[in-house]
Amino acid sequence: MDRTAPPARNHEHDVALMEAIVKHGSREAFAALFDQFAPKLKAYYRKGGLELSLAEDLAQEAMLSVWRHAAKYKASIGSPSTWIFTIARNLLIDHVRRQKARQGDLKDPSLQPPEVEIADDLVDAQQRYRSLKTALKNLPKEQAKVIRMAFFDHKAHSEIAAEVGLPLGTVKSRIRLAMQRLKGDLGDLE
Amino acid sequence: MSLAPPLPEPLLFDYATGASSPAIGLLMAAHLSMSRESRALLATMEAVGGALLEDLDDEPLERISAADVLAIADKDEDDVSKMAELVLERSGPRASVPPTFVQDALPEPLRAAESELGGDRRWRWLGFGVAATKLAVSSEHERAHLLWAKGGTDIITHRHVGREVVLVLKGAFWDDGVRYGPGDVAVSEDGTIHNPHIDGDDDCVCLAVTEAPVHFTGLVGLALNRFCRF
Repeated sequence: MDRTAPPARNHEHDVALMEAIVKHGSREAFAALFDQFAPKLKAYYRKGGLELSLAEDLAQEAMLSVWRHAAKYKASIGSPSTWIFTIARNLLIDHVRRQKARQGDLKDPSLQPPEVEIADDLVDAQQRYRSLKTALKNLPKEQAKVIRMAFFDHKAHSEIAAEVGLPLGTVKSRIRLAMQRLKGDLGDLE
Repeated sequence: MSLAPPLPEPLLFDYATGASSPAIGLLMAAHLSMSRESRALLATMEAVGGALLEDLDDEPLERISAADVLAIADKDEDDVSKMAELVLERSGPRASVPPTFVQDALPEPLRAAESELGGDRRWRWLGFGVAATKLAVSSEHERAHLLWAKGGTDIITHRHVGREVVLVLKGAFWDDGVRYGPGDVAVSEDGTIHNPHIDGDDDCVCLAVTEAPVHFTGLVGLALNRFCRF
């Protein structure tokens, strides 16, 4: 047993909630998931630069998607937090796109990111989650910083470089090293 | 001859974090649909995003609640299903299904009850190679459609809300490892999630009776759900 790994209680708990929603349409399970994630989604959108009420609107829309599309979630692929993250990110992309161009078909399905399909290995999903959390915790500070900036400020490599005043190459290599580390600890997802 | 170099990781990483421009985002979406390797790498990056999300400090909520979200979902489901019917009946994309092909597929009782089929048999594309025409026998609680799909069509994963009974009239399809040919009846109980596949090269015609609308759960589920109830 790996005692250095953080507890996976969240993971198992979240998976159980998702299952209750999919299999039984459990409103109680949804409420529990909402309490856990909606405040974090609001924080996510706030960090993305959205004003307070808009951040709540998008958090609400994201949780609505979670409820409506719960059947799309597969525990064998990853943790509910990963799935919820992709929903939140896609909504943000849509929001930005809508602001930038108010013409064209925004609901064009071809603009939506594709589903990720990976071979089922339910047993490994929880182990992968533990490993990832551990690897994140142990990431060198300068690598963790650029990774967080990328995910929460939605900045491309070049924008991060400009903001922290580092050469683009340095930012690229920090992100690459961090991802290598995270991937290495995660193992091959295939 | 040499192999193409691997995808530059920053392109994928920016996509994972949501930093891609719309055009690059579209290019990446297309690439991802073709590259299993990139999909796996993207999944890793998204897992990082999910783990980071969990570690964020909560922002207290001021206006929204789980009860509100559920209430919106309940309300919208009614709206969407009403809208879906309107679109399916009036303005869905027209499908030109070979009329004689379908005519030949109809067994005697269906032909005899020709009036039951409705005078105006307009076919509408549901997407993914499936066209449907709603039959006059449909009621508030139960809908009947003729479905037509080309051979080899992979029907997008969908979940049944309410029972669906399908009779194969012509051609065949595979569902969960079982082949259903002419005369076979496939029953999908409420909650069934499946991904049927039309067998071989021959077009398939079925009669489907559903208790309630079908929810598509695949890639463009939301878009399809808006006009594609059968």
